[in-house]
Amino acid sequence: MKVTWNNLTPPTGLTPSARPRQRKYEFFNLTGTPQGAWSVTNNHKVARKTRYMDQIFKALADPTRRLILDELAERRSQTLYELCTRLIMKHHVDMSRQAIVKHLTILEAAGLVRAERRGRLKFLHFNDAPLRKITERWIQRVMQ
Amino acid sequence: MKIVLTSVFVNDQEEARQVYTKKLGFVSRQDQPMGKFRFLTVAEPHRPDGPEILLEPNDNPAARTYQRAMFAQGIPVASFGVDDVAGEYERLKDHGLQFTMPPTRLGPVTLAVFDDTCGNLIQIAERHP
Repeated sequence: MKVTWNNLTPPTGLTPSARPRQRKYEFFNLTGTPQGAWSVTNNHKVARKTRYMDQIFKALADPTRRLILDELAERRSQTLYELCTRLIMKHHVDMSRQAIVKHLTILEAAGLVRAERRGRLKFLHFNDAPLRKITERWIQRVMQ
Repeated sequence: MKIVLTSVFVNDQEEARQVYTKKLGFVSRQDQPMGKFRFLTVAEPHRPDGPEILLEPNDNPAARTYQRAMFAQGIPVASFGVDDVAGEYERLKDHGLQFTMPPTRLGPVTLAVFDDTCGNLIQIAERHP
């Protein structure tokens, strides 16, 4: 399925701390619609997309979280145990399990990581859709 | 001091004995009746004085809570050494055991984690020279 702004939505059911803060003004127009064409009714949708974009970049703005994505991109479906073992044994990450879970919450809020429950176990997946959207926005357009 | 006996909690002792001997490849060592349970141990086949694993019934709320929590978080309760993780992975999969982590090289070791069907995750590890 092609990822567009319409099907790229932030995951629901986030904890209050993971939810983006409400902003009074929006500075960027992400829809490609001319500024003058904004109507009052669709403005909140643009605002939501901007806040979601902020979340993606904030999630990426941390070396540990980028390392987590590196490891999750290597193989689909990893348990938290496997991810922690990879971080400790391959990268000598000196961090508690709880701290890694906090980083994962931020990555999940940004839609970069998805958790899937299978029976009694929970598996983590890397979701590249938000990153593909970023390359479409800048890189692919420049190449065309 | 020597490691003589260590234990793994199991849902059903007889079922666990079958899995640990027929699938994993250990041998039965001790089997004594103890009330409604058994003092049941398994050990490595070629080491008569090697350490034993007690297949301990999880008939205790604390044991079950511990076992379920470890399983839900994907944490293995025991780690066994093998010469060839990839070979064991195929062999155990042929026996119908499911892996939560396929063989993965991590620095000096290759690890894999599977569900022993008795309520636990078990890790196998191969050390590289």
